[in-house]
Amino acid sequence: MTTYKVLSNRFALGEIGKTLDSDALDGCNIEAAIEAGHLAEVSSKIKKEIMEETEK
Amino acid sequence: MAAIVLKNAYITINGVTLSDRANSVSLTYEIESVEATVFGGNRSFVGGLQNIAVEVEFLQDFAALETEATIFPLVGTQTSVIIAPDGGAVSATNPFYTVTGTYLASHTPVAAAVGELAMTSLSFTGGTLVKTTS
Repeated sequence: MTTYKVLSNRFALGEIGKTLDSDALDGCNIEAAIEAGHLAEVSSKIKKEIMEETEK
Repeated sequence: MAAIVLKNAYITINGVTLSDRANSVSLTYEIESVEATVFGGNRSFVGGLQNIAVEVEFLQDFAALETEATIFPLVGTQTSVIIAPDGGAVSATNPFYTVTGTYLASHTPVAAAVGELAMTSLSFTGGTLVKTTS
């Protein structure tokens, strides 16, 4: 599951620095929040593991 | 009978608290009336579709993470809006109204006459309304 880091103290769904998953952002237009600078996508552990497995 | 003056309304747009950038807000909750009049009776109506409208006036601000940066990417998309009469805790006397899936059709990044405050007026339409009191 993709997770997102809160970058803004205006973001009401989590404190700045907190990591949220898509469920916690239900109803939020995530793409718009990223474009506005309130959120940043965090590479998931699963993605990292898949990439490492692919590289072997 | 208490008279309520809005002094500290709570407004979040797409999860972003922008109460301190707004000076006017209204939320209209409507169930459309559908006529069901039949011969031999008087005019009669039944409830139709829910129709939500949220109007907010924001002071424009082009700084990072402020009004313009938050609103601009939302045009032409659906988002969520939360409105409450006060920024305190949710309660029976301070209900929170959450509108999900509401559509923002337009935004006026630059709008003011000479000498006036730069403002942007937003109209969100449609979506689903939930009222929370606890």
